[in-house]
Amino acid sequence: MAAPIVHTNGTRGRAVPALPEHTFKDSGITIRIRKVGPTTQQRLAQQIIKDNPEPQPPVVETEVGPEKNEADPEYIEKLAAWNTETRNQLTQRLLLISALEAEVEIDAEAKQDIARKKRHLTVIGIPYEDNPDLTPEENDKVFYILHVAAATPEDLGEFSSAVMRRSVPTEEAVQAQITTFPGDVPGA
Amino acid sequence: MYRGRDVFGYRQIPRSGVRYGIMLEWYLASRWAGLDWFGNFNDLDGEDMAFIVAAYRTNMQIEAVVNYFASKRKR
Repeated sequence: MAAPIVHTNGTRGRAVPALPEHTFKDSGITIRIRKVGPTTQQRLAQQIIKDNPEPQPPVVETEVGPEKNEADPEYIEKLAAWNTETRNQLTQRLLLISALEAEVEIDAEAKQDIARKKRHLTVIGIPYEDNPDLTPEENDKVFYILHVAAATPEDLGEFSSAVMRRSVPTEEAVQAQITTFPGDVPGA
Repeated sequence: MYRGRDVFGYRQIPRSGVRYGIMLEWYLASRWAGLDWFGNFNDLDGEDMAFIVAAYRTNMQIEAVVNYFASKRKR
């Protein structure tokens, strides 16, 4: 297991609380997570859509002139595929930024875990390739969090949810807050 | 509560039909709360953001319900 983690939040500038910890249920590994704010997420979504524009419905001639045919079966299929693809890309990139922003010490034991897991992936025919845009240390951290610490898909989902709960007002959190508003007191 | 019913329980309140992304609601909620979107709202923890969005949404719902019954009385 990795050595105890030392948070770097607020070590410069004003004092801020320590980063919250997140423990992966199945692997038992604990890391510290950092939020990915709404603005970052918005820019990320904008970039993904810019790189992969939404398909447009075909234009057909009607009695009142050219109109978009949003009922076109081919368009509906393309739109569904586009929605799935953009959602997947957003999820993958959010996981990447969440892992990059997280804090965990990659010690000798963690490096052994990384090497072991990469070897196992190669053996089963899905060799892992490091991201060329990241430093070796960043690649190690991302791999360790997303493939070693997150031992199961459930771990990965809970990691993502933990970062989201801290980063944005999720619908579940908003609904939970609404239920806490007492309704039996007189209003202003 | 309004007239003995949860304000979110009024299904007959006419909807404008306007649709927008979830992030616009967060932005409007931050403005409603007097917070700066690029500053202090984004710095908040997700749970605190959720509290503001919940309060904003509840306020909008209360206004919609009260205005609906007020307009019915006028007719």
